[in-house]
Amino acid sequence: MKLKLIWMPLVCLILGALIGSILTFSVPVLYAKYLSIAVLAALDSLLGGIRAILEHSFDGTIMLSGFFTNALLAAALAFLGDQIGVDLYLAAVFAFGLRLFNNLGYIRRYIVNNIRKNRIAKKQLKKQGLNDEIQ
Amino acid sequence: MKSNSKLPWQVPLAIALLIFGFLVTIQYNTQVQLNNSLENQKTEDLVAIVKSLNENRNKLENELAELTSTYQSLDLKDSLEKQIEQLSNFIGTVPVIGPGITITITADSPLMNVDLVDIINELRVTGAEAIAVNDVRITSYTSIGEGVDANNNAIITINGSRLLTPVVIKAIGKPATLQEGLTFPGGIIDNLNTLYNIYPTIKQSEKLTIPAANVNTDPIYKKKYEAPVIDNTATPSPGTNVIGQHPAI
Repeated sequence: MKLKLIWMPLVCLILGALIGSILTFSVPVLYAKYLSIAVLAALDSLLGGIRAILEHSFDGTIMLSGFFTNALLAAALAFLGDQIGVDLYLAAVFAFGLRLFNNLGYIRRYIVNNIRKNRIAKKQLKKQGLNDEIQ
Repeated sequence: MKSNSKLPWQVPLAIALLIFGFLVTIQYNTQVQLNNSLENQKTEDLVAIVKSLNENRNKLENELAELTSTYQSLDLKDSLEKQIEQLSNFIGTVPVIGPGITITITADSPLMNVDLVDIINELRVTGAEAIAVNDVRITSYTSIGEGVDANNNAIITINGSRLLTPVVIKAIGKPATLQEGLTFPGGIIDNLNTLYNIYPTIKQSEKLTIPAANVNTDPIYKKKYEAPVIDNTATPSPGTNVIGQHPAI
């Protein structure tokens, strides 16, 4: 059960991509900008969720609500910015981009630390094993 | 993992990823479309596109002109072929088939060339479309004359050569009308019967074949007459001064 669940997100990602490419549906050119900012926000939320998983503080409801509201709000803000002549679009790109890289950096650091910790643990285990053998 | 979350972490992540994948592909589609739209092309590319499209258009226009001329020539060919058919029918250079009558005059009849001409004329009057005497097609070039043979007996000539007996006249037309035109009381057959003791036999048939005439269609002496064109632009003869024109330098 656990093993199957591990692959579920990846399968779903591929499935979503497949649905999107089968439908060959495309947004009107006018709204392409808002969709792109929504995608950026969604990506940020996803990375935030993965970070939370690694931090063992993941909450599905919070992640999903963040995912949708961030995407929608980003698009809405960009739209509003266009209406009033302010490039809020850029602000959203900046904010989400920053957060995205923060999250990425955290995930990277976590993975590197984890690998390092594992290696040290293995070495210690080996050493212990050697000591046990010697003794 | 927090205990208050009922679902394992994979489920919400999977949902988010599903939607994310979908959104990304849609955005990708849109972006591809955007990049392919003319507005996003470089000016040089646009110029190249316009050039190639223009070339293509010119090529297609040439093709269209070619095809139109071919079509017209085909049309012309059709109409020419029809005209040839009509003309050759008219001058009798094609063999024809149709209903009509056959008049046979036996060898012992004192037939004269004028009688033959009268019969042919009568047939023409009653609407014969093609006539042949002894399988010689009667056309506008056919001559029917008289002559003498070696024994000084009068003979009938057709196109200069002797008409042999029995004389068989075939005519294509409405059989009943043709026969009626010849045999009415006081008509030509009646005259031949009573005056010369010639008794032609007339037979109606549904299918008569009349051969083609041997007509020389390439005249040697006659030429088509062209009405002289009055040339207004002729250069004035030297010495005559035309008002409004500069003298040649």
